[in-house]
Amino acid sequence: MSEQRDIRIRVPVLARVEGEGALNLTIHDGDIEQLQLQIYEPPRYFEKFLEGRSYTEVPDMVARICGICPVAYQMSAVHAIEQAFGVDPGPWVRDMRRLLYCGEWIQSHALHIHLLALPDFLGFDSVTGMAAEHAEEVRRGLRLQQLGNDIIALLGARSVHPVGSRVGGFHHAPDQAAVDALLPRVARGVEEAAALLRWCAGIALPDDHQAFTSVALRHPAEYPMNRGRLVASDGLDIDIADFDDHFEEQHVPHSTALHARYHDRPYLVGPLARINLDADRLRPEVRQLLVETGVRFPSDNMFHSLLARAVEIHESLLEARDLLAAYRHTDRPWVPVTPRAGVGFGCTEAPRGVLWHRYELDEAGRVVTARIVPPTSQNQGRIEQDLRDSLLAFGLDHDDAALRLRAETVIRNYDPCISCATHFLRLEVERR
Amino acid sequence: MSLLVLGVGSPQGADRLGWQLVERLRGRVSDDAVRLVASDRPGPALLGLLEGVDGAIIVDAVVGDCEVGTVVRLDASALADDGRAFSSHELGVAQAISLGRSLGQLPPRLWLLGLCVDEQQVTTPGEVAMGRLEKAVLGLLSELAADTAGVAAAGGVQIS
Repeated sequence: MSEQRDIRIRVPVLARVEGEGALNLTIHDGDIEQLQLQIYEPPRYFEKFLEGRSYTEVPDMVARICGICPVAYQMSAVHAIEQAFGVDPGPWVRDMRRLLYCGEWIQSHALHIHLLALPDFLGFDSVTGMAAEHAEEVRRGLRLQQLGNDIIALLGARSVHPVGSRVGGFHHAPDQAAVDALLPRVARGVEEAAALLRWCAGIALPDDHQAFTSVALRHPAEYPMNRGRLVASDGLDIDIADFDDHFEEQHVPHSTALHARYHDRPYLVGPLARINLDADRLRPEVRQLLVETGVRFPSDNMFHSLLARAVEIHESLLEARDLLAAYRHTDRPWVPVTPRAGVGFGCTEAPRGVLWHRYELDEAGRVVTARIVPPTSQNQGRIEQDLRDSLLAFGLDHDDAALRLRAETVIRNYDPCISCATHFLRLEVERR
Repeated sequence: MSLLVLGVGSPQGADRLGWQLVERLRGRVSDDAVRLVASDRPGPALLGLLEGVDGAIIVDAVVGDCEVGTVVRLDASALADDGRAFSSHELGVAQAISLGRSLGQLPPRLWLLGLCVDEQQVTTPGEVAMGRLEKAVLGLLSELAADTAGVAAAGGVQIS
């Protein structure tokens, strides 16, 4: 160990993450004195915007929370509202919602792997530099991302902030010709996704094992997207309506995003948490590929999130292929909806993890209150915990540039979406 | 021969001049020769749009050291990446072109025509400025058509 020193590292603007965040790290006498992931992006007040709005407006409004995971916001919202109204949209809608979600996972994960995460692990400043040496792999990544976008556009009319979803189903069913045109591309994408996983499995990732609790949805038969119970790696198994009995959101002074805690501890949501809890729900082809490549889950190495994303791209393309192959056009891609007063819960798996919604609606279907708990706010505490553990394991005697890069790598590994996560303190004035 | 005019910007509000320009060109250029696309921040999809294209013009609002309402013409293939790191939600035109350059998949002729706007972008450009931009795009299209092999065989770019 070299001589101890006082180090203050401030990363004022985190790069290759979405939104405005910063990191403050103070090391004193060889130990971490202060470590804060600061989220200073202004609050966005979406939950307040929704109050008084009709249920018909909610899917398109919440889609605007995020340009990368708008489908997740739409899905959690429509499920919650349908639960409040007692609506079952039926198997056609359910299948198409899974297809839509496959598109979002594919495009979001492909973007993160190639543009945001891999440059860290392969020693490049950005994908531009990486592309010079790994052009074919980057091209493949961009093709996969485009394929995900095209699946979203098939059902949503456009890939960013799609407009196809409604409470009860979809506004429009894709033409059979459009489905037939997409299917062979998706089938080719399956092969490219398998090649991506093989490639990622050969990349030397940092070997950093940590203790953490994984939280994800779990379904009796499916890899979780839209439905299931909330489970945790310590044995928790609850209905999504019981979220508040076990999870709590807290304000912290250094962040406009809430910190969520599970039984007063940080926890992990996202692809690694999902695969840690639901690997037995992956398709046989995917599990076989994991055996072939030697990739093993569950894993306590957070950097295996990269592999988890590659696995989920493969799983999603296989599912999309099968759903497209079985597609039958319908003239009525929705079921009628009759509003009623009530409360509904929706919990789906956004690319970055559990996205929980709760809506209280009046008899006309207007929103009385809304609560949205996005994955990044749930992961914030875990990121800070990870940073502390990772930097200690990495060695605080590294120079500042190396410490900074490792810290940024740890944060980017979570693919945090800071814009999604911002909230603001509720102001209550007591006058005497 | 395949030419592309890509209008970039928000479909709503003051940053929609790329969309307006594409609308103005509809019916004025031959669909067979020139593909017209309007896009809200295409990101990495920009590279897909440019794939297999002989010449492309990207039209966008620009801010900087230029007088509001003037048209600037830049060789887009030489655009410098502005150094901002990539984020999942923001892969700008310059960054996407930089990535395309690294991948060796930019079209042989790639131009950016920008209309200088107020940095605050409070108002959309007026008719005079838009007319100036349209004229510049049509002029450059003619140059690209003349410069592209096989133009005569394809019938050239029909500009009314």
